[in-house]
Amino acid sequence: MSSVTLKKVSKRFTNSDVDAVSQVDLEIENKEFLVILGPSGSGKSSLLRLIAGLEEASNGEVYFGNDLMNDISPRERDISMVFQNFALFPNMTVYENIAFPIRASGKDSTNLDSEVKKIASMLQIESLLDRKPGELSGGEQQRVSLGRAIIKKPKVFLMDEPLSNLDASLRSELRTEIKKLHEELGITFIYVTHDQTEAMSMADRIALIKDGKLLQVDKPDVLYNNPNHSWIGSFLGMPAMNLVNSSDLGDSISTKKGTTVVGIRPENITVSSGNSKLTGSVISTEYLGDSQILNVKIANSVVKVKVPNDSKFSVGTDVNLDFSDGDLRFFSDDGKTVR
Amino acid sequence: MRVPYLFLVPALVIIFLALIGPVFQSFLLSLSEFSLVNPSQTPVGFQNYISLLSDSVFWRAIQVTLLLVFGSVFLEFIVGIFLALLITSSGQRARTWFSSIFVIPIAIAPIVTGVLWSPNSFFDDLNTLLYYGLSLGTYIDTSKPFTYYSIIVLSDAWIWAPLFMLVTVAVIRSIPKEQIEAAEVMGASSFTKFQKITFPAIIASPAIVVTLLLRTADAFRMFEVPYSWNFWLGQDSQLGAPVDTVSVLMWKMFSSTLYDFPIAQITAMAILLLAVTLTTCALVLRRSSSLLD
Repeated sequence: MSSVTLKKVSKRFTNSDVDAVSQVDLEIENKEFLVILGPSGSGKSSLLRLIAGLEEASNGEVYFGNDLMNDISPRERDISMVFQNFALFPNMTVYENIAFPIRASGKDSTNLDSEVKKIASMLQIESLLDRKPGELSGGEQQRVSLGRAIIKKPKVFLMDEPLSNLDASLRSELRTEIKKLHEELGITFIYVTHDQTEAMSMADRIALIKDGKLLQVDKPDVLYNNPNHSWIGSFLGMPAMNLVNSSDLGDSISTKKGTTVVGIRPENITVSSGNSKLTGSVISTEYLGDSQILNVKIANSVVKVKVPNDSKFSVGTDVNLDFSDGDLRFFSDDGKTVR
Repeated sequence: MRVPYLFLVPALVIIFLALIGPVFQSFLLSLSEFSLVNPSQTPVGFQNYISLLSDSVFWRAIQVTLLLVFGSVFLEFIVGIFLALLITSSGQRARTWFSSIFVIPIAIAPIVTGVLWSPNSFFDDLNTLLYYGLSLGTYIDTSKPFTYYSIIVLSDAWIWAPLFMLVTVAVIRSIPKEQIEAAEVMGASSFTKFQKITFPAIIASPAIVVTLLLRTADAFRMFEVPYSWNFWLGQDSQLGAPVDTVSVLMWKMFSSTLYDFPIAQITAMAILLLAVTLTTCALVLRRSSSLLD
């Protein structure tokens, strides 16, 4: 149980001329569930590995609580880690895998047997204890890997895309369980993913990273509703935020000074028969099951509008769009939010 | 339906002509009396085998062969693992140097290696240095059985350890990096990581099992290294007297030809060598596949 603080942490790999992680300042509170979210290649895994000590920072400092960790080896940091490909030991049984951290680190193993069984029942893998990892399904393997990580009750629990190798139904099942685990254990969780659904549903706070730089660290709803960068708007949400050049909108909308791009979420726009702020023609529709997306062409831009799944619009018809001005977000040339 | 088998015929014919036929013919030959001086083949049943099996020199040769085979294969396996660990844990540049240097012994003709390690070259100089140069008043007595068996095993391991090294390096490289990292994060020391992850992976690797099998089968044909010792250990052996001290099976077969050419007896010996080799390989295979479960 410990807070984690990064001060101006950078990582540049040998033979590379860009920073994989660049000048990251991040404070993770004790017992927090922090998700590091970013597209592939954004440096999110490198950032996690810096916290684990599996990579050495080129610059900057990593603290657990008040203790400087830069020169402490991973095995002395009192952390646990779960990997995307499970990384179970193939020659050991499930039982031995879960018991490994206690046996390997020479910790007190008097209650080891009951500990292993308790964790196994918590993760519903009691019946698998004598099996080898190769005989388990992906979901079962990741449960074992979770069990192996929690047995030593680490200060910090690190997860590197633990659900990415699993199929969709298992993912949502394990998402709930990991969230529950966090509540039961009361340990600081740091979770890396590229999947925004995972991030949104589990995180206390999300740290959004792109090209090695932290763009915004905030609660999921703040990140979704008030992104401080147009890229975040376009990264989060399915479909993403509409970003329209303000020149395409004409005079019908009042923007803040310095705005070049206006953003609005598809679900905040309605098709109205009365009031209309914008008019455009439907160029295509996408049926999503629970809803429907209209692609509406306005000047040189295409705006996505989320409408009920039973509404009928034919391609080529003109529609009037209405929205509340409070849902508009304004971005400047460099993508930053205009406040 | 039978057509596909037709395509196998050419291969089967070649296998029969080159492999099964000769072995079968050798077996027939080993059941007869045959001499190159008097080339007529008279069946004598298992007479050749009986006389071989009642020959103490033959049994001695079997013992010596088994000792040398298991000694050297085991040693080169262990040394190979050490060299592989050295290579995989060192930096890029050192790795290149190490692997080039370590591989050299494989490229040297075994007879040269045998002579290099035999008493009259290396140990002569070493003993001179120990006894006179450093005035230690002691020397390595290469005429003691324990010493010369050890040195023969060592020199054969010196030749073949690099093979195990190369295979082991490949096996170590194929261990998922995350497994090692997971162990590290969980608090495992370097030794624990080797003991619990790297070593089990090496043992369980089919590549290693195959290499062990090949080397075991090949070691039964060990000849050059013991050969280069024979002439030193018993000078009379040059006259054809059997040297039972380091006489491996191959030497026994070879030395039988020095007087006359008892082809039938030699064939019987070859068949027995084949039987011993196959049995040993089967045992090694069974042992290693039981390790895999």
